[in-house]
Amino acid sequence: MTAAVIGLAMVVALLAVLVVGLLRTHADILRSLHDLGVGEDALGTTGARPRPRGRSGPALPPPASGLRAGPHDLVGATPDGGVASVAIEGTVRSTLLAFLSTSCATCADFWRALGSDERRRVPGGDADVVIVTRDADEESPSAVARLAPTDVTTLMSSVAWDDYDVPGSPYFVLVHGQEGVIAEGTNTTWASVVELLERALADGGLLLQPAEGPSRREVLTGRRAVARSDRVIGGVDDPASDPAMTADG
Amino acid sequence: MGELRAHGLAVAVPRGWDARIRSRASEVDQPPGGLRRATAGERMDLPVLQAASFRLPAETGDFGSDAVERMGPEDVLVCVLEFDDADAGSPLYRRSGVPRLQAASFDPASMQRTIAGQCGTQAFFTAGGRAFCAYAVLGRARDIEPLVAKVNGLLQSVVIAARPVGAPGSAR
Repeated sequence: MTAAVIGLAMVVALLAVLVVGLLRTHADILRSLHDLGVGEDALGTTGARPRPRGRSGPALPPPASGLRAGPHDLVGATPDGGVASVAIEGTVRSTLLAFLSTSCATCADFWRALGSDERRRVPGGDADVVIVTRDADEESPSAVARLAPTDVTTLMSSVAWDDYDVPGSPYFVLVHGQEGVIAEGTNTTWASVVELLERALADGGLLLQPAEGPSRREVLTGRRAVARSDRVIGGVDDPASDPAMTADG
Repeated sequence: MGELRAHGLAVAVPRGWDARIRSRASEVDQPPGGLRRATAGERMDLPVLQAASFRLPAETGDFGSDAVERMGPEDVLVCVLEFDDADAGSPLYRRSGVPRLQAASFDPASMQRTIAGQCGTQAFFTAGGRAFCAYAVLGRARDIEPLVAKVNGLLQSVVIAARPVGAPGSAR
């Protein structure tokens, strides 16, 4: 009997040690996720990839010009086995860069939408859309070719991901050849990205399609401001509160 | 911007230009000069290099269709297309090396599809044992010397490698 009690006590003690170890490991994981800017609220409300804190927090103020990042030209392989370069820097037009992956489930809606007329909803006037995946050592060219719309320029360029400091996919960057990056961020559907792009441009006073929406004055001072989401679009005050678009300028 | 290199072609892309090098469709389009079509079953790996001082649409024909419509009066489009190796050195392709185009050769009637205010030209040549056509379109038809200089600047940067023995590219 005594031996059984001692044995059971030892088992309980061992289990207690294991439970404590597991709890500590769990705490370490949560701490690491917290450090990366992954918060339960962001994941729970939108399902979108939250922005790393280091990219949008108050510790990284925009440059004196009011622009966060300069434009970078794109060079990469095309899914059909060729190569292509797309000029961004110095041009007088806007380009929406869609950083997508063939393996991310969230990207599926974007591949579909960008291959349809929904692509024309891109705010910012006559902005072109360029899809950018990672290089062939990280993406299957045949998979990219299968998903890439034939009428949208698609490049495989990990360098572009680095140039634009893309944290993951899907991710969108609206860049102007002379003004630099004017909006960037992510969300779960194409419709929400368009909405957030419009909002980010409006908040930055950059909405270029007054004929199809409220005037800049209305947006900045009127009803649009009242209807503005509680989430912080600028992403500076509380980057963990919204994974979506940020506007610079 | 940098250099693009693929399919045995290389080009230095000027700042602000779009460019691409891709393999053409298996069946060769009839070029303005009039060449035979590839027949069914022939193995073709014929590249086309396109460079434009404006945004190239994703879907651009070998001779710039769907792109020339976007051109402004300051713009130029340059296409370098390879044809069957069997034609290399033939009378049509007797010129050796990437040509320098002359302003006098540009004519609105030389375009694949006439667009008011634009003009174009083409020149056939052989380089690296390979047969090519250089086709250029200018966004305006008057005072074209500055635009011709842009075209020739681009063409002079084109490097054509000799095709390795046994590599696909001949329709023979």
